[in-house]
Amino acid sequence: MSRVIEACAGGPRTLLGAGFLLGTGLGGFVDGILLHQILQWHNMLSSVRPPTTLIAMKYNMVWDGLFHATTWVMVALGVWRLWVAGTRREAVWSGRTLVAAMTMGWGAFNLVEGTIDHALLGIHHVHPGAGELAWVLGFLAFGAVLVVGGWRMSRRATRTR
Amino acid sequence: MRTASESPMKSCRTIPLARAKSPRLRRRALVFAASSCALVGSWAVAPPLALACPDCAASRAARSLVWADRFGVNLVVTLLPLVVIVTLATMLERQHGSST
Repeated sequence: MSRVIEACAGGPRTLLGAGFLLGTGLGGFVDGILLHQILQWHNMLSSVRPPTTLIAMKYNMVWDGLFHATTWVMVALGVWRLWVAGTRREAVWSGRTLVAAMTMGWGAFNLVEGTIDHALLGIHHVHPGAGELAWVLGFLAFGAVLVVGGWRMSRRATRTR
Repeated sequence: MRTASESPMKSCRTIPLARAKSPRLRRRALVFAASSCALVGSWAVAPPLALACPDCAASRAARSLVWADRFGVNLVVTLLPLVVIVTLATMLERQHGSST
């Protein structure tokens, strides 16, 4: 088995990187589209300048746009890495590895964004108001579940190759 | 306010429908002309663009506020989680690569 993995060196690594970036970007889009725009629970700087007036709403819209631009760059980088993986002859084209890496990327986004933006800086919260802390912890727990689940899936994919 | 000479309806009369020889083509040309005129007409009666966003007062005020209200700090704060994730991903990928 180890010989197979050695022969594939670079393959799964590139696929993992590509999937991780794609997962991070798409996870960011889930946050931005679902929580910022459709449900309107929070915006990028809604705890700094609550969107209670039209100007404050537009101000937050600009920062939401910059956040979306960054997640777009992540997805573009992920597609580029996926292209690189596709051009390598030694690359292992495993759908399970890609999905595992994407799941880990989404989870990493929730964990890092939840820790920095919600818990440390407090620039916005998942669902401000009653039960704010529960929402923050739930968001982090969901991220942790995704990271652990993705990691286990990638281990299983490596073992079955 | 637009003057009568600028009316989009005037230009609609000049559409060369005669070129469409068959009745079917002529019908299609008429439908196309009517739709185009309706579209241009609705644009003609729309309020002047200066009053509408993106040039409205609220948009201008919001844009000024974005620059005036700690733009650099907010930009770093917005980008920070994703920069941290990319750094983590690069580190993990290198580690995974060296372990295989």
